Amino acid sequence: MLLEVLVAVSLVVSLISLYLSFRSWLRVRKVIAVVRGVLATKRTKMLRPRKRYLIFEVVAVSGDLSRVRKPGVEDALESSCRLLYGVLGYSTIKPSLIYYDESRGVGILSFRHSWRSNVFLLLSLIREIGGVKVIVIPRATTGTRRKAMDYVRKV
Amino acid sequence: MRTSGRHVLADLCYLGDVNELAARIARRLGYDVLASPKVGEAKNIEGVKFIPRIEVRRASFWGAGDVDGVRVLIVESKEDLKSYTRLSGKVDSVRVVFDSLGDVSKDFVRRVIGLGAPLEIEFSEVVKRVWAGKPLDYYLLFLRLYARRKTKVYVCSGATDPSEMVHPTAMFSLLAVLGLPEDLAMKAVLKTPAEMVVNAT
Repeated sequence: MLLEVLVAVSLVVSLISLYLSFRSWLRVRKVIAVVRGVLATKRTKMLRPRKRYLIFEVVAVSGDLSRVRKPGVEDALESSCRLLYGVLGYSTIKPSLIYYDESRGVGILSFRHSWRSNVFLLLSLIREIGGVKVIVIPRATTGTRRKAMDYVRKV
Repeated sequence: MRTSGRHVLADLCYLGDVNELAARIARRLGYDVLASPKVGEAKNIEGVKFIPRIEVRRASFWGAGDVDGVRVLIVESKEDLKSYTRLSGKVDSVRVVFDSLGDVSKDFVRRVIGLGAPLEIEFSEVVKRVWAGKPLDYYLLFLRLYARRKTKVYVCSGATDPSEMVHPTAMFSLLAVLGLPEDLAMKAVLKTPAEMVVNAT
């Protein structure tokens, strides 16, 4: 009986010690990551390109919004981007119109995350699409396509 | 896109016609106040407040009278800021016309700093210069001064038509692209214009 109790106690103690050591290992790993991040200079850091999804709205100032078609929006985005940031900038930003609702004028644009400000500036410079004077208003930015689609459904 | 936050969003240089279309577009873009030179006294159209924007030049400054609104001193030559201490507190902001100014000296920069009024940066003018391939040296100079807390800066659209109005995020992005830290860029788009509206009305 005594032997069984001792075995059970030692098992519990070993399990607790295993849990504690695993928890402290996680903490130490986190600290190491933070220290590495602080020590890494901008030169050594190479950001992993991540996508961002920008939900925007096209508002017609004069003319009919239904004349603003998806190919027109794509053309306007591409030409403005190439003109403003050049061929290199265009391929780095990699803007692509992944969704556009022609009836509501709401769309989703994906781009590389580090060019966020540039994309906002780019959208503000689009003044005409398909002969219709427009304003492109950025609504929200998300990290996943699913969230962006959810937002579009709610708008 | 939480640009509106707690601040009153204001575009202090809307140069187009004041009508319902302008008010509607401004509302869509999130603006609460527009300052226009075509408005004699403050009025409200479709929930957007239009306040007077008074552009004064040095020569006609003392005859401009005391009118409620945003008083903007147009600086076209280096002489316009001579004895700037007399102007201090009498103008809400300064707009420097770089095309007619030529080279600026340290003395000119010292006067701009000494006047203490925020400097106006017109979004449409910067964009025009970019499209024309002209240098942005003066803008960068003033943004550097702003980053070093020597002077204040704010951005406005300079729209002559409702379709030229820009979203506050675009103005913020322009400053960020020009190299200004994000917190200062946000201040130049949201806080400084809001403070000026409160002082002017």
